[in-house]
Amino acid sequence: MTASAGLRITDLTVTYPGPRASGFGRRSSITAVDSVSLGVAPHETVALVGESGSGKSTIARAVVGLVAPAAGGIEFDATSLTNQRDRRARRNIAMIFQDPRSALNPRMSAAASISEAWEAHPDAAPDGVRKDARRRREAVVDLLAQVGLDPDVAEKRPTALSGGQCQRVSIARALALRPRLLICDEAVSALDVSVQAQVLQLLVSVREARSLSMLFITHDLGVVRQVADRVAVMRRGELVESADVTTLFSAPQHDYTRELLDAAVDLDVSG
Amino acid sequence: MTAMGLVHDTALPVRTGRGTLRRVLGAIPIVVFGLYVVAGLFGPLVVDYTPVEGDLDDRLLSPGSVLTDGSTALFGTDALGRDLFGQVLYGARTSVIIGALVVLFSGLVGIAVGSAAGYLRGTTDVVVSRVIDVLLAFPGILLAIVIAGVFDRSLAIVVIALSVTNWIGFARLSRSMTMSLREREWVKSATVMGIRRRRVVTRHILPFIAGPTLALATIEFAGAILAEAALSFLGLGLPAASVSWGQTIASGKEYLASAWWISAIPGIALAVLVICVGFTGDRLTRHFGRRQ
Repeated sequence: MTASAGLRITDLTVTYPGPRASGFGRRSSITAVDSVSLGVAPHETVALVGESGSGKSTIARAVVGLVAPAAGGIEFDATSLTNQRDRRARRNIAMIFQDPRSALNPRMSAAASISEAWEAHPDAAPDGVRKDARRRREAVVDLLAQVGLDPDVAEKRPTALSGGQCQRVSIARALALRPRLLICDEAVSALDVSVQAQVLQLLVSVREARSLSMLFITHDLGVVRQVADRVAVMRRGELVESADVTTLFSAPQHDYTRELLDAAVDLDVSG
Repeated sequence: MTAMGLVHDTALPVRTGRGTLRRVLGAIPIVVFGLYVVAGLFGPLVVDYTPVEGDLDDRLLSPGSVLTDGSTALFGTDALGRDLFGQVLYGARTSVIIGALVVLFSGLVGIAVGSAAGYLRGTTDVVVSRVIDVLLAFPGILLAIVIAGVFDRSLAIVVIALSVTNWIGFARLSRSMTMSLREREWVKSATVMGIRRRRVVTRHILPFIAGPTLALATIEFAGAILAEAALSFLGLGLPAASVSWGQTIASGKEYLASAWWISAIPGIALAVLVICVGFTGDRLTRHFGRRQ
């Protein structure tokens, strides 16, 4: 892995304002992410695992600019992403959210949600889609086909679609700008188990077809084994272990990782 | 808040006679409100009335009297012999126009300020919230009286004077709704995609505020009409040449014992309108409250 290519997070610290000490006292702060360094190389999939509140989603939110880092750096292909207002720098990064329904505006059709990205980034849009309605429709249908949806989904609103279909529309929208890094924040955990497998399969095939990098945030270790090249384990805002997926599952180094793996096995047996 | 509206629970599959009655009763305020708007818009095209024309021979005639020119004064005449029916009709137009202008003006300002405060938070929100706190410390009608009293009487001044406090409701509603909507995932995913902030607000937040804002607008509309009547009653509202219920009520106050209809009829017209608009607003609030 070279130093400049892909996503590089160095000593990232993110804090949230906490409760005030007294009515007029200074706000304390809660450190959600504590000097974490993490890299995602081109074509690599890194899974970020950990229990709720371990700060894994906060890392994703900092990368896409939803929260401002307190300290540390985030770079993509040697371009800094720490300026929250810089929209252009983030064009290469797309994010898939957990709840498939609320990630789409309930008053907008699937086609409107997908083509909205092209209005914001004209230079990333396919030729002619901004002016020619027929070209736009073709491009939308093409994207829908890539995520395994019929053309008639284009006119539908999220309320008329199933959870799995909504998540596929979200993926199509994420692909509209031809990103190079896809961040999936618990992207399959809100779906039914059968749908989960299909969407996971879709994400893997999209990754192969477009040779994407992926930052896959999940608490489901079974999913990790299927998609990830490398796993980073987080606990209470700190990175406790980062290893190759086979190494981590066969020979976990850290006690906490062992606990996580044991808990997952227990669930598999009882469930 | 009760989950079922007065009228909407009859939309359930089982329809009873009582349900139909409630439906009809529930529709009355909306129909009456509609009649006022129609009367205000089209009444003046049918009925001629000018405040400077009045036959002094016809002064203080009771409702239903025949005038010297042979026509019937349905609502009677005032102290200068002017037809009260015409005054009520032209007054309805004045009220509807002023109410609509105030709601439009203060609604636009309130939504812009409120959504900006709710979306940007931080300093913007602190400044907006404190300004609102300060304005809320004064009774709204007092501020309106001061502003209307300082400037020359005109339609624009009345609208501004009433909007000064009217926008607060819109600002508070859109601020709080924007604050919760901006945390929704479709807003975040639009932000992540690099959609411009103004576009995020207009496309992903404001459409969801529209319904409750409409409900609030009807209530503010009633408030504005009432406040305009109060200003005109005090002689601070519209120029004397225009027709306003407040002015008519004021002109009748010396004749309450002898010619009650001068004050009573426009007073009843005003009260019925405000009550009906209030009921309509409550229905809309319930309707949008349930849908949220």
